[in-house]
Amino acid sequence: MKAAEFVALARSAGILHGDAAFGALAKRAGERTLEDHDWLGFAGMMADRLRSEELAGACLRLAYVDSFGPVLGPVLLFLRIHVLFTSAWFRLLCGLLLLNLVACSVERLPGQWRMAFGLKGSDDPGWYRRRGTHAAVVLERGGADAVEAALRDAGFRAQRMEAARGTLFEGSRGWLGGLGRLWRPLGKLAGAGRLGAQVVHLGVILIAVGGFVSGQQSFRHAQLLAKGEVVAVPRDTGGDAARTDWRELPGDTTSDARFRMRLRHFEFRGDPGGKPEYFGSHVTLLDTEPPTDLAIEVNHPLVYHGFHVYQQSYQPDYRAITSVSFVVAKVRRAEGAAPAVHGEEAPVEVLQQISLAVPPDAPVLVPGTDLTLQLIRYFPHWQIPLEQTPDGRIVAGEARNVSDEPVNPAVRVRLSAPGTPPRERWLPLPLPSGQPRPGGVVDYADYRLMPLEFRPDYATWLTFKTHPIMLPVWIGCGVMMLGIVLCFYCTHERVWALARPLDGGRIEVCLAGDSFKWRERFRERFDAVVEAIRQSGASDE
Amino acid sequence: MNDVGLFWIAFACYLLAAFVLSAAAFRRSSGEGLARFGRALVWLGLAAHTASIVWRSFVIGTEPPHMFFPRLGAAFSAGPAWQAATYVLLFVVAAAAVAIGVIFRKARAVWLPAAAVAVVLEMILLDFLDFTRLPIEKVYEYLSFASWCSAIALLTASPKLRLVVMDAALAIVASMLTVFAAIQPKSIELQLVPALQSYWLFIHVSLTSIAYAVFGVAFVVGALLLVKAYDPALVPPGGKRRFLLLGTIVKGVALAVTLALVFGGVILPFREVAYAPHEVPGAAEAPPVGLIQVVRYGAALLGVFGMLTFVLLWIAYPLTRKRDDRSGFGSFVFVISCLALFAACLALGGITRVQEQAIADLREEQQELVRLGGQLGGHEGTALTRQAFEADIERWRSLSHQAKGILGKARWLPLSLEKQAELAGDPVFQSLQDLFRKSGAEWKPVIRYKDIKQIGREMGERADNTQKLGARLSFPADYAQLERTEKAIQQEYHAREANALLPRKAAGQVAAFVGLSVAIATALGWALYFVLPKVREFLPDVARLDRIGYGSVLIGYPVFTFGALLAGAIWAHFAWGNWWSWDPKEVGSLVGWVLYTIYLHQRYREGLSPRSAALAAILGFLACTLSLAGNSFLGGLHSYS
Repeated sequence: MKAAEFVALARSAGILHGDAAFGALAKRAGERTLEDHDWLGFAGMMADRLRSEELAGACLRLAYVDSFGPVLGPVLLFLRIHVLFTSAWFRLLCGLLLLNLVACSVERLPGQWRMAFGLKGSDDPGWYRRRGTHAAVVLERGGADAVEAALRDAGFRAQRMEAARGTLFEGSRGWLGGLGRLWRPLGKLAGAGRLGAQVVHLGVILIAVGGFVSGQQSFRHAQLLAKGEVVAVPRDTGGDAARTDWRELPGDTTSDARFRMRLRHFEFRGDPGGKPEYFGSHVTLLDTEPPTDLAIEVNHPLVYHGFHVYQQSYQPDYRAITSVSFVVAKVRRAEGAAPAVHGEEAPVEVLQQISLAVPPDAPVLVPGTDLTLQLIRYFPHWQIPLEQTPDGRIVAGEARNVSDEPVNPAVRVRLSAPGTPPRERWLPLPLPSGQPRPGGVVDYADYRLMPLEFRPDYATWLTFKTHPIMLPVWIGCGVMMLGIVLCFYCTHERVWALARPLDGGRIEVCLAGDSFKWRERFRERFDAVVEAIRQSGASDE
Repeated sequence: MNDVGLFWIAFACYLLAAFVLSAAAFRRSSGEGLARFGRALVWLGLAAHTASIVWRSFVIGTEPPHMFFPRLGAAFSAGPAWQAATYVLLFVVAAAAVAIGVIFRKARAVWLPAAAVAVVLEMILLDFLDFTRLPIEKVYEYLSFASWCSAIALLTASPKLRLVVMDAALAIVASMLTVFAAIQPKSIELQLVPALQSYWLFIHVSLTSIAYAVFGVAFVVGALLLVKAYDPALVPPGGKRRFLLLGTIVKGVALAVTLALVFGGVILPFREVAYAPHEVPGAAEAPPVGLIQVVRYGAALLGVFGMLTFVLLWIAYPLTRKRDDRSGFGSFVFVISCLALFAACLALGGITRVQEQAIADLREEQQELVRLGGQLGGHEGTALTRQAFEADIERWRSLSHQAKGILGKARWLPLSLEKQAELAGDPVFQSLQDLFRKSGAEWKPVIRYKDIKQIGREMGERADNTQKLGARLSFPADYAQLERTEKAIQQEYHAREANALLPRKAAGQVAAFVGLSVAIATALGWALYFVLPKVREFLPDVARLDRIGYGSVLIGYPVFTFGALLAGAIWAHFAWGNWWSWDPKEVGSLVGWVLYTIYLHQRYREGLSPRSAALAAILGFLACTLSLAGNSFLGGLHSYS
């Protein structure tokens, strides 16, 4: 973005009004004397001050005005779209929904409970007429047995009871009730399906409330850790604990740590394109006896002392290396040609060539050759100091490292092959930016080798997180699934019948029925039962 | 013949089956013979498709196929004895149950054991995640798996429903999905990023995909139901005119709002929507306006206008509808507009995907050209002869074959540094060293089966890409010609990028996408408006369709709840440290879930008219589709593939 554009944007976003530095910037923009570096200086200053809440808000406003325009941007911000899911109005809506769920469940539970487990048939014919689905048949002959047979034929489990005014039948249908044949008490669950909706409600409430409380109480801290460093997790996670650095400095005596662990090393494996295929932190828990070695990997967090420690990400740490990639060629040199000198290589005929990654310290035999390569030392910022001898000569001193930044990375290699005396030398490594550097080619015995790139060591980002009160959420998930199964896979159809003798040997059969779903299908079945009973009476005539 | 070849066979079978079954469904006389032929085609396609999927998971696996049974044994003996015993017992019981069910033809008895077998197989598969490659990792594989699920749904539902129309609808769904799978890149990356290396991937993705397929059935049935429920004879006099009038008013309002928003500077700034970023040079001068800019901007405007119209119309219509109108005209027009818009979005998505693929292919060709130029060394006077060019292709091909040969013979993989020392004289090991040398791949401390596999595939692809270059070059080609050709390729893909229909910036891109879809959908919608009423008489009655739709939602809903929401939450808890992050895809899935919940809830409480149920099923599926496609626009945590 250009300086003038930034000033225009900030003006239209209406921010930084009172800021003196911005005022000066705007003035110069008005005079058309604004230079790019002025603005860069200002942006740098802004970035330094980003911690302050006010400036963070200003940046957010800038971003929204840039993306959505000077009208829509502030409106969206006012509606808190950028933090929609933690905004008060969204939470209010969720709260209302939960309240509605609770109210609905409380209101309906007694009635549903009664329909599921209570509600016996009555010997009063009026009781049947008051039910939603009902019918009455008068039979000339036959009677109670025909009712039971019709119910069984339609797939109902029928129970028969004698009452004062006639014979009562109760039939129920649904696989839950069928469990009673395996073990009698299970049969009592027959009506549980009717409570499925309440169970789902309970699950949703558990998940939502548990999730909300857990989210509020949860503590999160991201920690950068380099090889060999120790992190001390404080006992007290209140106050500023999430924003402080938990690393132990040399000489720290931490008595009040919840637990301590050391990063032994961070392991990274990836394809040549840099796409990771594995990364994980190998750590040592220091407060167990003896100290425990374990790995924290993506998908496999460490759960310890109330904390979940997640492998979050990583960043290069140029103080050490993971590997250096070399290209090694077996060559035939022209007769009498000199070996490669710094920056000048004589042309050679390449017989075969291979590239390989060499880890530090251990000697590696290059496949298909008799050449052994060993990386002895590595400096990210290699330098040869010039020293003056007492007699006034300037000589090169011992190679040393000047900083931890990859300014002049170099590696000391040791080459050996049978029949040639081993040789050690420093090789400049290509810069991380990929810029080529001269002088990396070495000729040794029949080989020519050159470093292609190097992989730095990595520092790891670990996230320390507590998940308090998660149990209700997981229980809620289970309860919700149970509720869904009860709701949609457990039918409970009930039929009550009363066979009441009338005068003249006739029998009146009053029927009533109920199902909490698939009502049309139930209605058809109910009608079929009624029809079968009617037929039984008629066919006898 | 390989996995892709088998996929193309399945593709052809499904497409043909869709035509045959449609023809069978819309014949006045009995089309039973045709229908049988159509179903046979689906069986054939399914067989090829299954072979293709199995091929991708096992043959292109992370381990050699001949190791399958040794690994199976190892996995059984590695776990506790009770685990192995449970697996065996479950498997035997389930297999016996299926056998009994099949022998005694108790159709109902098959379902439970079949589910049990599936669970057992899944558990066994979970144990082998290190061994196999899940064939649902790439977009291509995911879509291909979904179409496989639809084909299975067709074949399972067909004998139960005995509705050729449903067969035809499902065959169309399956073939559409294969078409979209076909335009995706089919290359394989044998390595997943660490976050995806979990058995939850299998549970979460496969269950979600199955749920989507089942919801897709509910969507199709819902659409058919609304078509069937529409009775032109019942449209009240003047009803259509009222609808047209309402439409016109709504369009006027939408146009006014769009223009007000645009001229108010609230949405769609011209420069950002109409131009590719590199076409807007400095801040000062105005770049020229060409046809493509007008088209892009027009599409974006049409997108906003069309979306507003759509939303306003379907809010206003139910409010202004005459209460005694039972014709179903409104829902008929609604389903047509949804179907047309859906199809148009899919078609446009396909076209843009193909365009992107063409650009990606050009880049690959360019890379090979640069490599060929590097071989000439940039020296004047050297030229690439046809023989040298063909030798180059042959070289990569032979390397690819060499990799295959090694894979067939090398019994010592994975190869550690210690083993390498022992193998010095082994001819296969020497061939492996030779392969690494010649292909320029980096030698690793541990070499695994999939590393060699990957080299083999890359060499094959390089040979193919180089071969394509042959058409662009005239031999002998000197360095200058190579440079010219490279420039030409570069220009070609710059031109393709500049002429891309969609603008680059996200907001304008979505608007233009919708706008173009609206344009296509309008034409499609009119065609459907006249064609669909003629199909009505062939459709089963409303009550039947309603039951089928309800049944599919009933199957899909628990699977979706567990697979997409709960399993996703559990996995996220371990992978990201947050069981719920309000990620765009999570929100999209939640919206779909809430819509289906409302549907089921209403139906459960007080019964829902078939028409409303169908509308809810359609809306729910559209929400799911949005969440499926949302990644490409919204990014977020789910943007892996």
